[in-house]
Amino acid sequence: MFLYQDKVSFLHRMHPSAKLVGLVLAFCHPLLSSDPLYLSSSLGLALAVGALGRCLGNYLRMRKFLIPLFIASVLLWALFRRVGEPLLMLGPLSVSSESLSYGLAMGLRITSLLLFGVAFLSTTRIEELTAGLEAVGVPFKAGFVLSLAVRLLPTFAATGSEIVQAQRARGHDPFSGGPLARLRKAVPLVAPILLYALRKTDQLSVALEARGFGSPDRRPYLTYRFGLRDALALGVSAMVLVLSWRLRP
Amino acid sequence: MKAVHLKGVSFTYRGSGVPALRCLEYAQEVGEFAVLGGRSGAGKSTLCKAIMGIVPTLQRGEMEGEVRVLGRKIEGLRPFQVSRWAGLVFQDFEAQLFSTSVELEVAFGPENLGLSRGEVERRIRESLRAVGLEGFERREPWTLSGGEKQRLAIASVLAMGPPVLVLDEPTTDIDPLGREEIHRVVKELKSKGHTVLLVEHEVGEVEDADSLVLMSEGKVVWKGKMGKADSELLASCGVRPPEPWALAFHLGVPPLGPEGMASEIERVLGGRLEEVRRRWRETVDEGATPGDVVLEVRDVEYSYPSSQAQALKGVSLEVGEGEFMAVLGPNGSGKSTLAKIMAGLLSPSSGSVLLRGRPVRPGKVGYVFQNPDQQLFAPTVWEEVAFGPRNMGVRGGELEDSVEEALEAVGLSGYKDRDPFSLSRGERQRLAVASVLACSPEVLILDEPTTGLDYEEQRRMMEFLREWNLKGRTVVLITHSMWVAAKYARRCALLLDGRIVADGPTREIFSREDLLSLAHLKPPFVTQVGARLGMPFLSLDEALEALRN
Amino acid sequence: MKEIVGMWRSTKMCALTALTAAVYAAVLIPFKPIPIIPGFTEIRPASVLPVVCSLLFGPAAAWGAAFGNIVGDLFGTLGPGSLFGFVGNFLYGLLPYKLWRALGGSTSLRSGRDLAVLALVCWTSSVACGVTIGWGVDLLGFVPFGALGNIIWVNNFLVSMVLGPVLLRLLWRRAERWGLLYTQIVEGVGRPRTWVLGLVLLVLGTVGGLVLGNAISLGVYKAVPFAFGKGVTGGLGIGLGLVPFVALTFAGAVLL
Repeated sequence: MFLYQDKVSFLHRMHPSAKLVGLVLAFCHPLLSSDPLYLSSSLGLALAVGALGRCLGNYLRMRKFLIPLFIASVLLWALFRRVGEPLLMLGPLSVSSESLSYGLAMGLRITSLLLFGVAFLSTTRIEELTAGLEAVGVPFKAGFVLSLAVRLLPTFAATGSEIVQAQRARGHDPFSGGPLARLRKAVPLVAPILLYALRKTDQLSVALEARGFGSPDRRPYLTYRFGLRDALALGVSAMVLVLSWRLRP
Repeated sequence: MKAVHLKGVSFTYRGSGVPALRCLEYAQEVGEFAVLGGRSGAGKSTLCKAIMGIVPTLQRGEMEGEVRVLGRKIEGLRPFQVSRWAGLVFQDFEAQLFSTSVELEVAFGPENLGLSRGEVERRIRESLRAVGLEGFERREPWTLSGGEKQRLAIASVLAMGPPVLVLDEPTTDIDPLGREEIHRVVKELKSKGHTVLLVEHEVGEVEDADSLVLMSEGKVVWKGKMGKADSELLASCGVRPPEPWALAFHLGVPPLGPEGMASEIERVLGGRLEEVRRRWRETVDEGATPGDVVLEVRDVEYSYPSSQAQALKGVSLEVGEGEFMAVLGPNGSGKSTLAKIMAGLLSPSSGSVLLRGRPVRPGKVGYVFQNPDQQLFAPTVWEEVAFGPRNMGVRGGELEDSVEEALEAVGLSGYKDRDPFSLSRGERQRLAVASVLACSPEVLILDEPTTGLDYEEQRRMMEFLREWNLKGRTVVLITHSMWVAAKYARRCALLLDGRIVADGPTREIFSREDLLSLAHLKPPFVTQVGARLGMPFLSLDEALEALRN
Repeated sequence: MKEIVGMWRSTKMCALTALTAAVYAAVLIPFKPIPIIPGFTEIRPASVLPVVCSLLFGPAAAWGAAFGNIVGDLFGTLGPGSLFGFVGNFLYGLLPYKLWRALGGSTSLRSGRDLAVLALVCWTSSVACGVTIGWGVDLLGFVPFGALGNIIWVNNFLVSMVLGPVLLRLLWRRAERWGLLYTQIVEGVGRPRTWVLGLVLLVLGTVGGLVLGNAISLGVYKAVPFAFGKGVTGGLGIGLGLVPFVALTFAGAVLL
């Protein structure tokens, strides 16, 4: 369901906090310039990181999503960004070579950013993410609630599809009609799932309390050591970033 | 010192006029394994919550009396403070698991106790071993089966180290195989010295408990040895009398296994056995022959989009007008998939489903889902039932009529203006049935309609279905409750690994213990005894009737 | 404002936060396949949830909407944009209950006044969410403000106006009976004295941000607004031009 792949790789073995910091550094790279050539190097870096996390397979799996996104990004910027001499005019719409190149750059930027994200998600378990967040100062309860939401999601998704079927069995046809009619038909689907959540609240909070949620004595079970690998990874990332900044067009 | 001791405890939830516990007295020895039975609303859950201090600390209300666990007064303590002495597991396993891996789930409690990593590791290992989930450490809880989830919930409470374990209907939403495993785990915990209080509808499934406790209207009305409660007492508390006890009681012999019971009956009847058998054969009604085919399943195959495995591997089935049919099979055998395909809710990958010769469409075949709460949403009972027929274009007087009729059929006529969520579970289940009936379906398919209901509600539901069927309507039941299938269905199909492996009259299918055991199913006790005597009884009443003299 | 941090002390509010997030993410999934701009927005009936949950669960819905959006991103859309998604959805779950509280709507939702208040609530929260996210992703160079900012606010406003009143009528009384309204769980959640100022700032921020953002994005403003920004969508134009309005929106949210 999620992107995580249980493998052994350099990225898998990194300290989750170091990986988070590394992710932020990686996110900075494509944001430093709007030059298509420079951004191709960002894409190259994203591929290298993918190889380091043995998750190029997941990159490939994302293509159905990334390719349309790339195309949409190119087109949108080409139309919205009004700079330079128009190459093409279609009524009020115009496209220039500058805006086209900008669109291409933004397509590359968003693709590489999302691929960095995919590399992170493919190599980091949810519990590592929350442990990593806690280690960089995010309150435990916030991280915990995030992971609790992740844990509950499959339950609610399954309940959601049961609800759709149960209402269809009563002649409800949620997928027909115009947009507005279709929207209104969401009520018999959304109301039961909310009511289901409401009815879970009491039991969930009782179970949490009984197992000591919010105890001041808490000692985390998962602990990670910041090692040479992490220092190396962060050092190299920072160096690449500084170099890219100095050399950017 | 008692493990659990309640003295004169009364409790009324805030906003409710009716007390949940009334001057309740209860004591349980250290190391004792007690099973608690009683109808829904008798106060069983409230008793469990009082032991943990959940009432009145987290769920507010008026409380009187004193609760002690291992000699300590619970008053004023948070449930977390109580959790070192007593742990609570409840029915809804989804709401008790909150981590993203099995290992972390078990670690959660010990982490909050501030234990060292080594100690937490040891507790994870031991708790997972105790519930038979070794090797599951890295699994995500949502990938487990219902039974495994519940055992994980038990492990995560065990890891906090409580000598007393309170289990509030842990097996209600679990299939028979999963139930057996939970009962085995509980038995082992008892043998390791834990004090266990287990709330269970089917008290007969835990015969090796030390004692049976019966509750009614907020009080403990009986406590004694297992097997000592007679059928009338059990029935008066809304508990289904276990068949071995009832049979033994009527024959005046100690409870025995099916083999023993059969030879005991043979011994008592002696030469009269042949005559009894002859008379029984005259009385059994093998059911009316079905009418024309209403619903026809032809070579249906199905694979879920997300998985490689085939859920159905070529299923063909004909359902005749006026049949009462049960589809049996273990979890994952494809029963629910088949039923949904029969109702037109899923489209088969290949093959077809015809309703009176035409492709089936959703709404024409009624489908009642297992959990009524997954479809109820309207502000009133009337609106809820009107939802279906309205979707089908029924309006005005015709709508009024079909709603009234459906409510009447399930015995909810007086509830029209009530909020569906103010009804009991059994009433909500019947409301879900009414909301499907109002669409005037040609065939009614029900997925586990008795799950989560107490014995009286189960019977009410099934008696309604029988009546409806006797009017010539067609019913298909998916169930793993064997006594329900035996007593009410006239035909059974057994599904195993996506194929129908047997299909025939209920009595014939239920006589074949070898076949059923392939599907991890066991015929009811009276059927097992009867089969050994050449009279496979389908219900306790039938057995008692045949053996009356 | 203090309830936004204070609520974390209540286990029930934490549970409601997680449940809101899980439902929000779960309802998003079945509608994922109909994107308007892939990866950025879809037709999402789920958009009604932050508004409905906000009126019921208060601050738990703000955090729940923000976390729910992050959970959705864990399926492969995690990026710098997630930060703006977090903030935008937080506002979208935060403003409805604050505005409702300030304007004193009643729970029956029958009178014309209640519906008018609800419309204002939905409009302001939707625009605040749209401007924040639209500004952020334009700044990052993902999608022009004129495209995404408008799509978000129109979608959110439409969906919450069509579904909101019906769902609230079905849920409000029941949640109250089960003791799950934030007003029943958290103490001291009355209207702060600064609400009028908050309301004014909020309206200025949202209306201003929407108008100026569109003006820059569609090229109406060739000139330099407020003496900074370059007047071109993408990069600094929207980036700096909208800063004052986003700041006003935030200040309004705090004071309300």
